[in-house]
Amino acid sequence: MNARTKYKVRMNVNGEARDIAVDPWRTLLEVLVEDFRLAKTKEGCSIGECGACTVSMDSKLVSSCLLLAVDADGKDIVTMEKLTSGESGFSSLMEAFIHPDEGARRARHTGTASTPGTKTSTEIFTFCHLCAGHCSMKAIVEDGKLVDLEPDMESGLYAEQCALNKGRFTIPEVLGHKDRLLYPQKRIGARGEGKWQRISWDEALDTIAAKFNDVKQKFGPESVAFGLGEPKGMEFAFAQRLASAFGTPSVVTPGWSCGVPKAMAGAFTYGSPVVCDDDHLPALVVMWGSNMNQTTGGFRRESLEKLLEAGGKLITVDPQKTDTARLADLWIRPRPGSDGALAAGLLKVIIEEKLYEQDIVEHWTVGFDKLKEHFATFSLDEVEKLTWVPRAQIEEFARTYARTKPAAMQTGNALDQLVNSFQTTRAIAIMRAICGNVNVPGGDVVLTPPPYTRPGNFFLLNKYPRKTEKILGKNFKFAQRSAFIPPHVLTKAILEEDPCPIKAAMFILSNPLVSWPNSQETYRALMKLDLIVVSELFMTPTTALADIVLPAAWSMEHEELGYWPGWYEEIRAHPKLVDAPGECWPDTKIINELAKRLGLGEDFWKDDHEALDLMLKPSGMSYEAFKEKRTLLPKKEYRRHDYDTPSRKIEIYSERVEKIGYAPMPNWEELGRKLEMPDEYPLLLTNAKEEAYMLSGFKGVASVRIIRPDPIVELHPQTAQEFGLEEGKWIYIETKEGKIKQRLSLNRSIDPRVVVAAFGWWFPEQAESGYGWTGSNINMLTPSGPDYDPSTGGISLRGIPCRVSAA
Amino acid sequence: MLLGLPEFELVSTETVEETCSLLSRSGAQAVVLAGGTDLLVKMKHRRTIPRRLINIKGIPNLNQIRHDERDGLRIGALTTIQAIEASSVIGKKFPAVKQAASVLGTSQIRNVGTIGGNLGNASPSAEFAPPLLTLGASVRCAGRGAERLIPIEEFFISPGKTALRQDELLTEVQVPNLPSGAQGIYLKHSLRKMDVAIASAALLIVFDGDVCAEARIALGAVGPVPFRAKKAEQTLNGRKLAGGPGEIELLEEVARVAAEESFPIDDFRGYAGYRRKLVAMLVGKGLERVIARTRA
Repeated sequence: MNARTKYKVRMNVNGEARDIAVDPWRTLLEVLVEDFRLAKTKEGCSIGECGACTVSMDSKLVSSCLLLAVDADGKDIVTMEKLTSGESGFSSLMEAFIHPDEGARRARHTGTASTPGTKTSTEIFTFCHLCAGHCSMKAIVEDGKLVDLEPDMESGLYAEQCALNKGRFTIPEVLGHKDRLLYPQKRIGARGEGKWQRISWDEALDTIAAKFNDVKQKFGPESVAFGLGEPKGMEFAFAQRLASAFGTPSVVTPGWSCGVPKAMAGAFTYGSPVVCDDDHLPALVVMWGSNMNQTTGGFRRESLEKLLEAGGKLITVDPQKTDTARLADLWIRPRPGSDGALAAGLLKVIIEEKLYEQDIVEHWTVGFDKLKEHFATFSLDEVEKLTWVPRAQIEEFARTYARTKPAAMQTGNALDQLVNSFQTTRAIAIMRAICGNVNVPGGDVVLTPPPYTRPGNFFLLNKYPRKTEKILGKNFKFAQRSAFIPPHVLTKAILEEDPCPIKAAMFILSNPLVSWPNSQETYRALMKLDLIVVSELFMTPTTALADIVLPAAWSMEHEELGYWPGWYEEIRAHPKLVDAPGECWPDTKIINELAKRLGLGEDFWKDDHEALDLMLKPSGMSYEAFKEKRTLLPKKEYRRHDYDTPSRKIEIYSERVEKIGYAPMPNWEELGRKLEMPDEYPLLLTNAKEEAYMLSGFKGVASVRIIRPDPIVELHPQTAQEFGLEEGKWIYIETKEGKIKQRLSLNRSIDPRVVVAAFGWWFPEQAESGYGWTGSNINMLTPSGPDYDPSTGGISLRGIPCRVSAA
Repeated sequence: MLLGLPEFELVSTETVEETCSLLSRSGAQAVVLAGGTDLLVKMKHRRTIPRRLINIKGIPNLNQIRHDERDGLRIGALTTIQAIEASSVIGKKFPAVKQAASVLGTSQIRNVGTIGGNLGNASPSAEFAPPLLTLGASVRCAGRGAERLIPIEEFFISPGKTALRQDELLTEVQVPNLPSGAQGIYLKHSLRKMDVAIASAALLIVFDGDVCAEARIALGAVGPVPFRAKKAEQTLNGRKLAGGPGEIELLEEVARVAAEESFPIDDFRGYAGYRRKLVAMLVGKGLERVIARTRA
């Protein structure tokens, strides 16, 4: 192979002649985004399906992700930026550009190949429920089937869908999918053998209720566990309510690795979690482990486009060169798992160079001097060594953040998945607060929720206080306060019967065998249970191990409210659009009916949909009235210096945290935690959310499976060469917990010491091997301890020592 | 996200001869790059890692559509899908080909993808294959020092594999003129119009009065390669289409035989049984429409 030759390319972009020298393998899209900083032209599916990368080339619309930059030589390129200049954010013009073929995206379920629009057709506004973005959509329903989800350009709500359009592709297909579970089943034969018998709902619920009550009587209610995943509607709330009424504290939720650490950090620092204010344009936004082009529950992609158009600055922190890294003014590439040290370094620079707001520190903080004294005990050189980020970059980041006002900063899941998550997000909270970015327009703000029933209230946590010490002892106090236990606590309790035995479990919205750490341990735990109940849309590895399988109805198949994520404090109507197939029941109905059979009917309803009105009661609206309104949004009051803490100030040093039993101040011992990298595992494993899927879900949905057909692992070419690995081949990735195979892709933009593997992989087409949960599943490699974040029970899921080898 | 391409060497050629010579010298590590809308996807997925891409878009005279009464239709391999859809001679004389072009992917793909690429990619659901099979088409292939014409029936070997040798380049598709009285149609069923076919069917019926003198039925996405449903064709050849329940029964029989002749697999888009049902539905509907057209 020849040495890398660069090609000189001249193209006319939006009326301007641009000259650039490119490698032959660079696509036109990459050049437009990275070199020309055009933020509206996006990488979505990358295979020409989604339209996000559309540009006009010599007056013809083309997918720039599938064109080599060299093939744009001499061509006239017009991008969305030019077409929509003056129209900030997402517009109908952009949508028409991306999706020019009228009706081409409408699903035709009935197999008649007829022209769209010739049957009865209705349009109903709703929200996507696939991820936390909740983009507002216009659902097109023809003859009782959902055929498309167009962006809602009319309501003024956020409507720009993720670049890849995963909701638009996935939802219509799932609603009509050939593999939907349609009726309750019970296991016959051995667990995991795959032999099922269809049963009635009555038999299913009676069996479950009898066993749950039997276990409760013999071992105590804590011996019945619940495993809950990411909520879409009210099902999570129903399950929590049931757990409370039943008397079990043994409830696993995603809180242990998502959102809770940073929410606690906000609460203990300035009295509440905060979110980025995109009602006003920040002058700087920091995306720390977050990429709104593909997933957003916070700062919107439309907002980023506006910010960049207005000349605002972007700093991205990510081990990968994500969309936001490409567009950034400063891209910080840290060692996976070292965010705590990075935060400490930033805070140190801000303190020692006096970049903070003097007035705030003097009058509105508690413990500043203690922090300053402590932060003098480590050096920036140590931070550099731990984070792999050059000292000069740390300084630039800190100085830019402190000096550019207002600044909004969003942290992603990776920061909630470390053993020092709480202290890391505490350090970041302090950084926000002393730089004057809390509760200012364009900064990070406290939300005043609209009037609806608070989740804790709905979960009946006051009526039935959780006996969390039965399962958590004195550990993980923030978990105790947030109505969850970490998964490793449950698996250990099942396996060791310590601190209490667990005999039965029910899982909704969840696939523990793929998404809990240490899959082999999870498997052994599941195999030990007396009764496993799973409510699901499809057969999954976890469902395959169930004793009772319940067919779930999905959003849009029943009336629903979306109230999660709780910290964005908005509540949305998700109207029923189509009938549920077969005998599918929504989880809310399953839980409601189960509750009645458990003798807990006093806390539940005749019909589960009555809860919708209860949820809305404080607003004075019924659910039917609320459907017209569609959403209740929080208020942003910008109450500067109104801190809901005991001292009424920013608590850099928190006595409250100290009393609970954790370090009252971010400390170097936790933040600057050394990483042990044994010789036999010389690389560091990390991962990111895959854009085509929602976590481990939807691997059997054709439109997204063609976008990402295989699990891909990325290595730097140098590293691949060192270990004799060939691009395109499946390779082994191994940690001391286990070994998996993924397909190798080389990427020069990651650190050579880093392995970026894919998360959430199992194979619906491999029924014979339990749906392939051992083959490529990253949780075969992750530990379930012994190191934990003491406050939440979190585990470090980023930056795990590993090795790679040829398969 | 961030599906960049693997690294490769790019060589642009300016003539067919140069291309064949380079293909021969490069061996299996080189592939031809035309529109790239199939190739680049496979590369991004790391399912194919060619060391060398031979960019043929600069070769002149490979993107023309010509037609005359003697030689029939000739479509250059680099003709874009969009140009085929927009061609009036194809629309008038070979409507099934235009229909195939109109349902291939999105506008953005059609503006860049080529017919040579669609055939060379040899997907079981290749959009142009069923119509060309019914039209008795051939592909002209240039190799080192020689050229040959491969009938389209012999062109597809297995999924992703064609009869092309290492040094050969597909340069043109040739479609003979149709006998008078011939009516053709292409139907595709996919979840969305822009999606890959779950099943597809092309029909060409040569009418002699109200007799079906010759039936040609080609199916796509329901076997490892697109193919002619010969048994279904035999069921219809020479039969009188007299209208009424007799005709309905005959057409249902043809559709049923076509479905039985297909050998689809289960995949994410559909089960084999469903695909067979679709074949029957598409063939039945195609026959109905083509007959209606003759009678109009």
